[in-house]
Amino acid sequence: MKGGRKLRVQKSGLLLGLMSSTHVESGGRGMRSNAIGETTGTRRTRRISGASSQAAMVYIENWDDFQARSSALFRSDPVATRYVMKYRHCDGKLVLKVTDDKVCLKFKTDQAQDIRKMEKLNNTFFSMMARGPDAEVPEDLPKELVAPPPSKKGRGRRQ
Amino acid sequence: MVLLELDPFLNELTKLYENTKKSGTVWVTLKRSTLQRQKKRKKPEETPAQAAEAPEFRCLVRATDGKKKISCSLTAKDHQRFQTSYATVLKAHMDSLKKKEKNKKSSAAKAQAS
Repeated sequence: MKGGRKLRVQKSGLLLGLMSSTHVESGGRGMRSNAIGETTGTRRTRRISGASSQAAMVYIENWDDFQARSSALFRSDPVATRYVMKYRHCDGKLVLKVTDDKVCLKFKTDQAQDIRKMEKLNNTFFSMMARGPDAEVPEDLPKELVAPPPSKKGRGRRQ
Repeated sequence: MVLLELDPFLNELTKLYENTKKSGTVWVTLKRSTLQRQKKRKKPEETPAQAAEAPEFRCLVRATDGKKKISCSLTAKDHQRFQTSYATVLKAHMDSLKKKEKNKKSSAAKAQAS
């Protein structure tokens, strides 16, 4: 979509001849140039206005922090927020991303124990998406997993 | 983008996971949607009441392995069933992650901290 907009601007620039290169991002890859013509910053730095200082991609180390912030992000804008999961079996890595196209929260792991945490988060998101952002469904563990092992009552000392 | 029903989607998702065992990535995206096109360009919202009356939310699930794309649209009723099936698929295929390395050290550290 964004590429389409740039193409339109460039085409109109060629046709009209009025839209000079200063209107289009020089280099087309986010390389900004000031009035003097020097390129300011690297490819990563973009127009960071005062309000969107949170626009950087964030890898969160703490799971609980990630879970709390992603839930809050979803509640703030349920329609725009999406939850992406990337899994690479060959590398053994899992990356979770929650973003509303303004704020991006990411969590990466290679630990099997985080799968259970991720499933709880999945359940949270599913319930929030199904019943509205205010609902919170308690952790519904399937009965298969929760079945406690039968207590082995001693039959008495076997001698 | 292939739009599927719930069960075919899960079958195809399983195939995606199986195909990418040696190389490749599986992306799964979960998003809520109203499936209502915002016609703000052509016509202004003449009847804003209609938009507020029937906000039928659906959950879009998309999956891809970089080449093949599949998607599914869930209603509120499908959520429960999809949730359990999806969890089963994930557990079955996500077995390449490391299992509790240095658990003794971390548990000891937690015990000391608490």
